Amino acid sequence: MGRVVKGTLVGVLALVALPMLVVVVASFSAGETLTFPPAGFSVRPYLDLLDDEVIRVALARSLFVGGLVVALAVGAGVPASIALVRYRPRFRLGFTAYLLLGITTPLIASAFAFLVIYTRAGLIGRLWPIAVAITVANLPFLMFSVASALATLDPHLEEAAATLGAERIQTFLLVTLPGMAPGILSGTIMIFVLGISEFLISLILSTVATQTLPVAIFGSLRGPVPPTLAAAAGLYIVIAFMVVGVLTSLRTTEQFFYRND
Amino acid sequence: MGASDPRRDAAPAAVASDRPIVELVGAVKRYGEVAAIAGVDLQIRPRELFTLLGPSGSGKTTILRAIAGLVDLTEGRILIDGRDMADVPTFERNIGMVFQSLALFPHMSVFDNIAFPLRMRRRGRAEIARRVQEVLDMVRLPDIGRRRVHELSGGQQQRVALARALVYDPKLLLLDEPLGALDKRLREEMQLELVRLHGEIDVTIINVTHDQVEALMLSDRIGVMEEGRLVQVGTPEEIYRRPATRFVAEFVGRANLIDGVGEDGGDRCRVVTPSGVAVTVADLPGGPGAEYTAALRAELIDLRRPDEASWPHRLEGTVALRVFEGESLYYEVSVPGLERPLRVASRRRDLAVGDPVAVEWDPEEVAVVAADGP
Repeated sequence: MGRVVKGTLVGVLALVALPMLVVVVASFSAGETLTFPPAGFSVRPYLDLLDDEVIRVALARSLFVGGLVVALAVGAGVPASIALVRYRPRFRLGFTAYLLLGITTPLIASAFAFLVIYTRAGLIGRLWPIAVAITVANLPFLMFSVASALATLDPHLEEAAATLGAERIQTFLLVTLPGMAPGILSGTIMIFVLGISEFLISLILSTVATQTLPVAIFGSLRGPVPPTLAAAAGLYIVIAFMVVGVLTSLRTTEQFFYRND
Repeated sequence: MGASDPRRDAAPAAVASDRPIVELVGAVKRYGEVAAIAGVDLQIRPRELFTLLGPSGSGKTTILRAIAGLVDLTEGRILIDGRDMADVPTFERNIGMVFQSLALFPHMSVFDNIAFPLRMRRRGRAEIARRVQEVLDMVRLPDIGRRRVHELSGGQQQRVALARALVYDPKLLLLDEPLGALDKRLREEMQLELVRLHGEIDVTIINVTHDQVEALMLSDRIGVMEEGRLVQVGTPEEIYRRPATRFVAEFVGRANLIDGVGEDGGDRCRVVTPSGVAVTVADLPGGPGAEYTAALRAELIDLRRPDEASWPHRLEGTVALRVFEGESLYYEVSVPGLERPLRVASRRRDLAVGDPVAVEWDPEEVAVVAADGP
């Protein structure tokens, strides 16, 4: 029994590592086209990446979209999460289910809906509507993160602040917000990564003038694949590692904040 | 630290001279059908340590929260210093409150926690630093300001919460069972600390607890709560010796309650159970013929061997249980005709399970309560 479990575990770990390994190894290949295993190794793909106008512009677009997604999601998601936790607990279950529905709706369906709306409104060909669409599709991830942080906050903290002489706005800024900060931060990072790597919605809503990085990579895959693309994918993996790093250290921050002895 | 203030061991009458600092008039709080407070009138005197005592769900915490303004009354009024609090929000009431969870701000240092109420009052930096240090000295934690809250032990956190609630010199301090989570030794230490602080500073304390030992030990006066009502208000001694209802008799102390009909038995009154067991008592407040409950305190009755003659006020039975409790022994004595064995705390060590014994008492020490209405 134990051997089977261990074997399965090793298999799963290998499966998770495999695509990353392939991408990272391939991203260092020398030569004009991407082959695996590479004939030789070089850092040129990464240097080329920086030189490649299309990729560079696409990366800049992705970062812009990611930033806008964060701004929109935090601006709308944090107050909405507070409302979700603090008011009308009767509706909480229904509302949570509704939000889950937002996540589980196939992206292709939401993308199609946005395409219809944007075409009518004449918004195709601009970047910010893509960010709006990505925000709508991914907002629940941030809300769950913020809401769970808020739900674990001792409700007496705010009452204590009130007895100590803090007005509601002071209580919110000095007590509630710092208490939710770990949840807001992890939700923000999560939705930023979702924003810069989102593919399907961007593909359907973008034109040549608004290609984000994932769409640009996808476009290049149709011809002979240059190693630069693997380097671009490698970049995402680096970002993913940084995010995981930050999130795990945040987990400890959270325990640090709310340790129960 | 007003040296001229009356000490807490001064006679209650001296404390009671001023008008009440807190007054509840016909206070009612309903949650839908359920009344958490079902009509309470209460006056808290300046500088007293008043304890609201009752089982969980009896409404004591709701009263405290209503005084703090964290709960709005459905009916009735709350006056603090003679002023109606209906339109005064919590942050303007200038009340100190220590919560059951302590509610220390986890993202702030000890210093910042204690400085918080002073900063809300826009005090200057130097004054804040001075006051925080003073109050940390007062709770005997002088060197702890820079630490984070979670680095402190449970007892230290209690003191910090207390310091934070006192640093701005509120006239009224509300304690919502903050000692409940502590282990017994630490709890007793903090109780003594509270008594000491209460003696040192000019503050009225309203304490909420379900721990009758704590209530008896700390309080100038106790209000006993049952199902949203204040069933008795009095000094610890009055509550203990003269319970107003069967509920109070049962809740405070370790009492044997014996229900029966009052009889005038010559020179002594008695409460006689339907099975014919007679308990001698000092007097019957409602006269003979009515239903009564006699409360025999486990600590105020004693055991004799049947041949060791003394009082005539006694019941005979056999030892059913003997438990060593350190300072005394706890016995249970089965008495024919009584449903439950009598509980006795005694210093006698020479009685064993199965021994025939007599349970004796001084009728003056037996509390007699008229049976609760139907």
